[in-house]
Amino acid sequence: MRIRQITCIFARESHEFFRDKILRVIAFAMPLSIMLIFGYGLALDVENVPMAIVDEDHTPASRELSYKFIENKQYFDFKGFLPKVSAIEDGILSGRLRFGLVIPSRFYERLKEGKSSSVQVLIDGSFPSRASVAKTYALGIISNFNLERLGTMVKKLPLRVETRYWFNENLKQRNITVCGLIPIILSIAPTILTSLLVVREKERGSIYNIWTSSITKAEFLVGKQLFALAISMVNFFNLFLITVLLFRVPFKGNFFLLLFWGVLYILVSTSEGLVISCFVKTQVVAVLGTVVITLIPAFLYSGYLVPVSSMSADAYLFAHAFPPYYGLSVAKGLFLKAAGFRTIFPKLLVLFLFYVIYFSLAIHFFKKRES
Amino acid sequence: MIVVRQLKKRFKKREAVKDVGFEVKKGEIFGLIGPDGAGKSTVMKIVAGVMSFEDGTVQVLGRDFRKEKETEQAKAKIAFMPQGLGLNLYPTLSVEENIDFFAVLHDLPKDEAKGRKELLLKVTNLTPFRKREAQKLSGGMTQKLGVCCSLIHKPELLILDEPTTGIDPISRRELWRLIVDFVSKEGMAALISTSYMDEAERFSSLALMIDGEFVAQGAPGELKRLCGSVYEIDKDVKEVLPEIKKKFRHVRLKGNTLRFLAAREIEKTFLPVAIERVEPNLEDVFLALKKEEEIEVKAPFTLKGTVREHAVTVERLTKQFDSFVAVSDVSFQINSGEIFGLLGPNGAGKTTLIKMLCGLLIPTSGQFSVAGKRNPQEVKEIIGYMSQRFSLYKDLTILENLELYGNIYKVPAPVLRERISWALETTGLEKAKNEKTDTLPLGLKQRLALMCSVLHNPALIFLDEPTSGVDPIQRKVFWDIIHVLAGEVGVTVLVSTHYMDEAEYCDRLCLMDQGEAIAIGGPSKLKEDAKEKIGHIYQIALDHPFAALDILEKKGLYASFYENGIRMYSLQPISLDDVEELFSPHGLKVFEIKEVFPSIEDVFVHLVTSR
Repeated sequence: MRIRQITCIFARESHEFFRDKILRVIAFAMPLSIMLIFGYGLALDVENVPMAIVDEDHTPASRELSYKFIENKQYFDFKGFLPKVSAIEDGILSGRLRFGLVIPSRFYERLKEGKSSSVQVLIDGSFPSRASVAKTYALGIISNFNLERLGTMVKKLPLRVETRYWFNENLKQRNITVCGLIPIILSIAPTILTSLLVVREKERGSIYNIWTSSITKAEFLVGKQLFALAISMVNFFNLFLITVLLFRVPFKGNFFLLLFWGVLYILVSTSEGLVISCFVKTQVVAVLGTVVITLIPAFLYSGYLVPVSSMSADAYLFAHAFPPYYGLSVAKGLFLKAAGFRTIFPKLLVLFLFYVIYFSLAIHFFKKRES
Repeated sequence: MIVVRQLKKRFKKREAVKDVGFEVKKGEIFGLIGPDGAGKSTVMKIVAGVMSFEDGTVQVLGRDFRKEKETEQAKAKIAFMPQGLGLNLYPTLSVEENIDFFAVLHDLPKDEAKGRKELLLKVTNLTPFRKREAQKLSGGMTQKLGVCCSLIHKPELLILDEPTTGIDPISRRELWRLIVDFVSKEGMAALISTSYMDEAERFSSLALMIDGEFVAQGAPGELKRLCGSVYEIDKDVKEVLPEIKKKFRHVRLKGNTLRFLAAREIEKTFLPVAIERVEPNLEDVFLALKKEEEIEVKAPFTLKGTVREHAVTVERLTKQFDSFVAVSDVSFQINSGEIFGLLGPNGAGKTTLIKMLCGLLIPTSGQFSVAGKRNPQEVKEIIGYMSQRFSLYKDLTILENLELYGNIYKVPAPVLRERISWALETTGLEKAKNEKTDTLPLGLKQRLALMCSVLHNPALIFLDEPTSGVDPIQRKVFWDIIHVLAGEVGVTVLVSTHYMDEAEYCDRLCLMDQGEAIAIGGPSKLKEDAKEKIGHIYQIALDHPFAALDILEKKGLYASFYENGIRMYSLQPISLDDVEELFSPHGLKVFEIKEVFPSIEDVFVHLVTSR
């Protein structure tokens, strides 16, 4: 391989890149917009549930329970007291409310008599997982209320549960969705860019210059790939900064490991783009084809939306046959678990194998003669 | 340099090249001519090593192209420029950056590349434009840059696929000088295809390719013996035309000259007019060798009502795109029933002008009327328009395309049926009517597109480069149809073309260059006007036209390539002795000198250079 040929391809790409507005938009704006759309849009946390209370009892005890809900501002968004149960139903129907608490009359009276009293909880069940999370919040608050009541009678509870969540202490779903977006975007955007860079020359006809010159396949492909790598590294830093600064996801691992992972992972994606470009002739097909080929493994089989360990046997194997699964687990490990080199080494090795395989396929399928 | 034997190539079902063989030696220019889709580009790609082949042997620069490895080894010494304006260039890179890229790509040492670049820029007159982006060059400059980039690494074999198609005559002449100069000085071999028959005269040897086969091959002189005798009549043409058409093949009427082929010599006295036997040219050969059934074109319909005397009036029309003026202050009038030609190279503003008249673009300033109407919506309803290529739906069949166009223009069903059968007959597509249009050869596609644009009985048709890329025979048939439409039906035709020789088919012309109308009038009038200013034009046949041009240029005389000789322009009359005196000290042999009348190409070149 001659360095001069490689830099010549690289230099020409960059000249063209900085004069081609559309290509620049595709290269830089697309990854950022995916990040922002999914980062803000894919919120799986259940917070600020709009809630109203019907207090038919009007006693200190009923007010105490009400305030336990109202004070819990993180999970519930208190919209006000309502006169009767039907008003809550209206609220849920119209979408203004998702949660209602009804405290019946004689609530305090029964408590005072030492009898068990009951309250009614109305939850919008149209989105089951959200409803069950809201129910859990309600149960928690009510059991707290119970404990405090009991506490006045019993000195100490026999068994208490102390829960601590590791790696994502506040169980913030966003931490996972946002940092997981980095490997997902890096398995789509660089692939599209690389296949575009090659197919563009086919569509325009300038590929004949390459075909009729003495430049070797490897020199040409490496030149293209290095340029795509350079552009994608800029995206890598952008995505990292957005994750840490805008979405405030804590980064716990070693940054240099993440950087190393980034370069390796982008080499895998760009090689995949080179392979795809061997089979398509127009830019439109290159973009659409690449999106279809990369999007599904990246979102559905990487463990991003569904954990790979809970997939069916076929899907489990399928997930292991694509790079995003390894990429995502390394990125998450570095972000959330401060994983060390030893822990991530096997997966990096698999990624390296993907790179070798994809690049060899590209060399094999790239032809300097049409058929 | 090139040895090809029994070459075969197929694309899926279609046999693109069938059993082709030829040789090209050092210093030779081998030419390929033939209709669109004949397989010329395929042969060139195979010889350039960018396309594989099934059968036969291809040896280039001593390497066996059946083997991948040897093909790669040859590539350092091959240059290939694909068909299409600037396709091998990088549009956003400057002239200089393009050349530099090719130099490094071919691994040329730095200092050598620098010297070579300066030389190429100088001989192509591109030095002042070295910083300009390739996409902002004119068509002629783009192709010159393309050739520069091909020559930068001193190739031993130069392969150019239609390098001159669509560019202005001056650039064409310059480009040819450049190619001939480098081929002879550096001892290259060249393989070049062209759609201009006059250029084909310059090839050392050439092949006429039709349907994947070389139907004739040899030096231009040898080929010309294959077409029998050629005759011309230039007086009282209209009277003898029916008689001639009955008796002879390939009858062409260009302006006032009737040209036809005869299988054997004919008695010159069988008609009351003078018949002159003339030297055959390659177009005659082309017509004679391509078997084509001649089609009788009948008038399809009569016009509803009449259009007033001026079918189209254009007043000071201008169109500006940002800072670029595409059409600048153009005025003309087209009379009813006239064939009006817009003649000029690519980028002259022809398409922009036609689009404005169709109401597809809004003029920056100036105004126009079509059949007395100014409102674009009303104009659209009375015209037929055929856009530059792509006006057919290629996934629909021939019949479906015709039905679609008929229905778009709301032609009543019984009338449409009649016209469609006329259209199929005129295009000779009756049998193939259920085939998809993308498999048709370009000539037939263009004919079909013309049919689609006249189904609704329009009083005016606007045709944008209908014959571009079409071979001479198909072009002739196309013009026959236009003549019937204009002459017998009375349709007013506005047609644009970059083929200077097609000017003769038009009643009146507007010559365009860089957005401006540089002359308007009938072809004979334009030529007479030009002759007054140019003086005498001599066609000189000699053995080394290129050297002769150099000599004349040094003396400050103006001359240009023409076919295989030169054309010399002079205010004073010149005799054979004068010319011999000029050239014999340099060892050149002059065969013949003949004073000729200017062609439209001479008119165009004269007008552009004297501006």
